Amino acid sequence: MINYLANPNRFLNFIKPIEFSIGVFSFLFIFIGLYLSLINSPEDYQQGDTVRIMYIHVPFAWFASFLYFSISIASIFFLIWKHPFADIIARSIAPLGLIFSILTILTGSLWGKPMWGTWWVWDARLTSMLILCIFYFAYIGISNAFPRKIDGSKPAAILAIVGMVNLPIIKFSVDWWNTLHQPASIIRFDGPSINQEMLLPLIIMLLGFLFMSIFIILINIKTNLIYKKYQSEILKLG
Amino acid sequence: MKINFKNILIALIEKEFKSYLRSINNFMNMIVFMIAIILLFPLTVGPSEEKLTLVSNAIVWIALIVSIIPTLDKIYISDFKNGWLEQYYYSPLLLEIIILIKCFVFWFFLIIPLTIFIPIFSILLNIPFLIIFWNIIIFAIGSLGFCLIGSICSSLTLGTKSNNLISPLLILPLAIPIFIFGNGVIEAVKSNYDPLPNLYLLITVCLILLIISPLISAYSIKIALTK
Repeated sequence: MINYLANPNRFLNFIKPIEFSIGVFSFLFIFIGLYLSLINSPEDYQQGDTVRIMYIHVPFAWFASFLYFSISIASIFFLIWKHPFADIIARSIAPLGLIFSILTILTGSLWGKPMWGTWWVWDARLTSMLILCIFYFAYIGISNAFPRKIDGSKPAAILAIVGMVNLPIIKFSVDWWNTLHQPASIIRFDGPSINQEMLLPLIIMLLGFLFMSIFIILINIKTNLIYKKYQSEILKLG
Repeated sequence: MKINFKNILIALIEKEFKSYLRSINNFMNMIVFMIAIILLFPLTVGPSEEKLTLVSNAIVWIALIVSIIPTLDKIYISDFKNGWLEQYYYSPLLLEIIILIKCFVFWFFLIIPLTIFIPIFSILLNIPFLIIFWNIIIFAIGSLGFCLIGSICSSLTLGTKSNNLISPLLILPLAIPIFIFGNGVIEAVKSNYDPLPNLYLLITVCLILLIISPLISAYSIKIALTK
């Protein structure tokens, strides 16, 4: 399956019929999720209405780290099998991940001001998220730093793999250190500790974000493929 | 032909040492930069002693780190331009070993002399002697890890258009464990706890870097050479 889709033309043919429906799905899920989370879900007994920031903060944070993980997986594929398509996928994911990590920090600090009393604390979870953001910046910076764009792919892939060290630190920072950030409440050994009525809208939002990021990444991949074709045409014209 | 490992080693160290002696300007730049930062802090924080004692240790560290970073990402750049790296690549010695030697020489001749300045600056900022002693030990160990991180970053950025913008972005996130454990030692000494656990963790980080860094740097140098 992966072998079959690794050809850009076959990939484009494969995604053509499903691309539109992915966009519709993402729109539907996010619309329903927003309705459920903003209007049709209970207030928190301590936090009141500000708890509704969680329904976008958590998906942003999850997908910021998940997209970095997928960049590193694509980079490993690229370094081992040297397939240029893996590089294009990694490059297309990076800007979206950068935006997600920035938005995680922004929504988090908007939530932190009324709840903790500060916009920002130098606590393990927040700092490791900031480092993830810096890694995204470094990845995009180094992949575009070379005179020929294609020369940047291998150094960027190495950087992506080195930066994978940060991901377990983000996940487990709330368990390893005493942080102001609350501990994990969904993925735990003893099942989710979050209320059922809050879990449903969150899951719908997560699904919506999943479809949305796939949709945006597909558009990015198409753009990058067209750019690459355009460059090779220029080379041919010489 | 039989390879005499010892002769190659001595020749390499001699070559590196001479190249650092000839570019003594870099070293002087570092010192001037350090003095400028040490001067700036009391002027901007305010000369009162209570405020300065809170941050005095951090000032020395910031001065050292900020002055090292501009030279750190240029470990390979002159060798890359002169064609030395290609000679290393085709030499019978493993590239990893040569990188390790280069890092050690860089650390020994360029970073270790900076420890002379730690007591001078610390006395200027009224840091107690016990902490000066620990500072020197931590700097000697941590700067080796710092050099190894710099080796990764400078080999990744070989042949870029603009070196200076990316490399601090690459170096700082990787160097965070060194800062955390180094600061842990100093905090422990200040509050009369046992500083050894944090020191062991610092040494562990440096040893892990000692294994990983030559492998990654050699791989990315090979990539840079085959472009």
